[in-house]
Amino acid sequence: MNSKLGFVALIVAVTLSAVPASAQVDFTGTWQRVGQNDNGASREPVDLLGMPFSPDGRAKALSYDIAALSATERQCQMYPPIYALVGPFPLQFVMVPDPVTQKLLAWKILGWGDRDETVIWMDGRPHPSKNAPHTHGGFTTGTWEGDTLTAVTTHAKLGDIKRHRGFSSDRATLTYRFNRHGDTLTATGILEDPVYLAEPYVLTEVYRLTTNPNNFPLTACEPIEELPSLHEDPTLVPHYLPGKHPAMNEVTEHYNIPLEAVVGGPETMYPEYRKKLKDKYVMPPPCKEGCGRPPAPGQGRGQGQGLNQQGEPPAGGRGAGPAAGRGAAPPQ
Amino acid sequence: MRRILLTVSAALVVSSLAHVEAQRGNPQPPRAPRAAAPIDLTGYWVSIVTQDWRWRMVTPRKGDYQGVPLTPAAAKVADAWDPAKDEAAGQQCKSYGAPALMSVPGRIHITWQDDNTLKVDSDAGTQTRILQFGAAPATANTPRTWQGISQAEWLMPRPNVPLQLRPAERAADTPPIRPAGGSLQVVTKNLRAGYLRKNGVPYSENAVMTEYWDVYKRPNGEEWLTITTQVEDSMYLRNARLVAPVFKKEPDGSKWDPTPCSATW
Amino acid sequence: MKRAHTASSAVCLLAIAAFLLGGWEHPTAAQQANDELDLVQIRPNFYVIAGAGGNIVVQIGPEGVILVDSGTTEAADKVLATIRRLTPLPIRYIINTSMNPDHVGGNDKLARAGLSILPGAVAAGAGLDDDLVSNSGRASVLAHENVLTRMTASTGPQAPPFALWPTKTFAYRLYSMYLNGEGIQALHMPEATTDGDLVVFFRRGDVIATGDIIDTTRWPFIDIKRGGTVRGELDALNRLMDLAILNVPLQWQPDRTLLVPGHGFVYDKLDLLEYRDAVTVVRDRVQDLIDEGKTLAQIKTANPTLGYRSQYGAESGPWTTDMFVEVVYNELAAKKGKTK
Repeated sequence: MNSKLGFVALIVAVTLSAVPASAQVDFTGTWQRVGQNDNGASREPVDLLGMPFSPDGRAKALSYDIAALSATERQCQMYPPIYALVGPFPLQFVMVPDPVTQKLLAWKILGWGDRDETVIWMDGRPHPSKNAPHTHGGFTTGTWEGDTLTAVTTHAKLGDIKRHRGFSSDRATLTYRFNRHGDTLTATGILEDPVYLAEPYVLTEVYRLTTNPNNFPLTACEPIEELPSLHEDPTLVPHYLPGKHPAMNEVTEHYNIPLEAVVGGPETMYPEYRKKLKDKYVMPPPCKEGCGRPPAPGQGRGQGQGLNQQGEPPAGGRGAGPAAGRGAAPPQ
Repeated sequence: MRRILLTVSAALVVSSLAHVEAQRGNPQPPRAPRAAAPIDLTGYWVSIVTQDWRWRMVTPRKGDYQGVPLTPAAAKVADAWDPAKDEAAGQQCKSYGAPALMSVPGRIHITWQDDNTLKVDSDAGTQTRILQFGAAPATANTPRTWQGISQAEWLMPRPNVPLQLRPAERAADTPPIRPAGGSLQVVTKNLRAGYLRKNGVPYSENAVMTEYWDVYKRPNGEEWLTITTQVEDSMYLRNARLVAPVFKKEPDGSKWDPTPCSATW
Repeated sequence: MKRAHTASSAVCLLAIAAFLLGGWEHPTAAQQANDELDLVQIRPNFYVIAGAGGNIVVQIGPEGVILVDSGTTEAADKVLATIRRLTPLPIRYIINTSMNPDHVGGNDKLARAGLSILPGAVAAGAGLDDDLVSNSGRASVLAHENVLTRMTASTGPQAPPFALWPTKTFAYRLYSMYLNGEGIQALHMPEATTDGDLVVFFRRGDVIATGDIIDTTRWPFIDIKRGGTVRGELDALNRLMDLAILNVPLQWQPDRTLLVPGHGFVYDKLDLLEYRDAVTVVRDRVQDLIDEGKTLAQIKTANPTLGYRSQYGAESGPWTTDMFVEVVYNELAAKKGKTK
């Protein structure tokens, strides 16, 4: 009788220690981009400043002709996961529970416009075989480190890492860190690519939980015959021959930044690179356009731009809507 | 044997209840901030400049305010920027104040000055920030400085997570949840008016900066520091200025390179 | 009674110990045996076996198993074991995409393990040995006639043995059949990596086995000694572009044409586009340098594969970047006088 009592007491003790499951931190909701890091809103087609490209990555970026986007196959192409830190997208987090246990099975970051959704599997499942097909959004698994969510993505397709100015290959790995502090979320992305990057490319972005989201859900995309030449001869591949990119010198012309810095490379990320620049840089004349001046009193809101929580467009014209010419539906 | 079983079972019940109580946030006896640190910030860290490159690695041209939500009053101040005048007035450190310092490309060296104070030295501009745990707020007589007064606080993660909280059907051979982690929150006030950027984009002495310092130690040994930085300034900023500069840990200070403040470079 | 008492006490103690040492942590799972082959399911009835030489496509249906390629001879047993784990149904056809040893090496063993779909006996007096028609009851091995021609002409230690030769060939543009509910078309791609290249298009499953026309691990191996050309390779890639369909207009949906390359991961049309573009860009760059009057040595130094070298290139081994550039150069230089 007493041994049975002991056994029952043990069962009760163990049961009491099993607390209901829940996420470490709740990310549910729409997080509007409020950070003002410049992660890719450049006007010049050749702007690889601070991007730690390998020689292959640099060459790939410099050969890129944006006319390639008009190929039927690329018009509906979606951005890779790192682009969540580059584009104007909010992050819309949804918790996916296990249908039986209701424990956290995955976090889903819903797609936006032309960025695929990201499903962060939290159940410890392995990544697919290296021979498995790749998708725009790749395959992502996540773990908690305290209250920080760390997610690792593989199996993503080749895609832009700065708007039409640099690429990650299909061998890239992206590690995300999501830190929530109250209603502020900081995302840090560490992109590693044995093909195009000589060192990790690290970006951050800051978001704020919003009840007035600027959501642009995934929409159907129909390619059109945008460039007649590409449809008359589908074997044509738009690209610039080495050293012949017509916009190679625009950043230098506009900002006096030496070309060797404009074409990126790992050393351009480090403070000591300023020593190399010092004797080569002369501050250009005062800014006349694209200066990010505050709006004049009574000026209307920008068309199709992401708005902050005060309902104002971001400074400097960032947060523009999805790329034109992709056949995407306009925001609702 | 029966007594052992009952005793152990009772102990399990008590520890479970204590765990639940701890999770409800009942305070434990306080430890000094140094001992209680949930993350290790000490060491040498180098800026990794992949973002805002042309506003950080070179002095941007006058009138380029892209990315900063300035008020018209601030634009007026910035339009009047005169670096020679700043140099002559001994104000060459204006762009090295706390709201800008962590975005200036350089290295920082973080140490414990004492059990309640973190010291952050930067080689760029040879500045020092003092992050005081439990600091008294500034009074009207406290002189304003470039680095202001910074109040620090640890943001702790929730207590160690029992394995029952593992996500659904976690594979048996995956590593367990690591219960470590936490952040440093720093609120800085009492600033001397300075520049958010070297080309004279201003912040006023009313600016308040809130930072969250987060460390990421990767399985390959790399360590990264992200400092989420929010600057609010009702006089010169329409909205909060939000950036998150990134640092990578270095093994030692062999690349430490103190350089004085400059108003032009 | 005493025994039950002791047993229950032991269980309690064990449970307590487990809890104290780490909660209800599962013991580390034993590692599964590593059999070196990678099995990837790409459709409900389609699989890819990788790691047996070239990729092998396995299509399973009511009539049996259709294989595209058979890997190396050394891996044939493992391939067979892998197929047996999927289904007990017999292998009916092996379709070879080329004559490369890592694609035909398993023909004999896998065909022997299979069962011909054709009747064993042939009408008396027809003058045909029924072995020729039905491969002695084994699975048929289908390839383009140029594969058989090359195999029979080979001599020396590298010559493929008779047992690996195809048992069924065709000399025209395509060979079609309907099996397992699939429309299956073997399409000849003339003068691609060789003059005997096939791609196999499973129309219902929307899977295309491309053989070495696509090799995600390197530049396409243009085997000029066996009739391969850069022009033919690009024609083949562009023809595959016409056959493949992307997941539009609902681009977040997974449904799309899948292309199984000779080596490497399973492609879709967008991946194919990047591969096609890479080969085209190198061709264009070499052409431009030829037009500038550069020699082969100068062209190699100029590195026309920059941007793709670490993805597809190799500095050593049987197929290096320089070899690929040389093949491109020789073909374009030979045409130079005719195009201007």
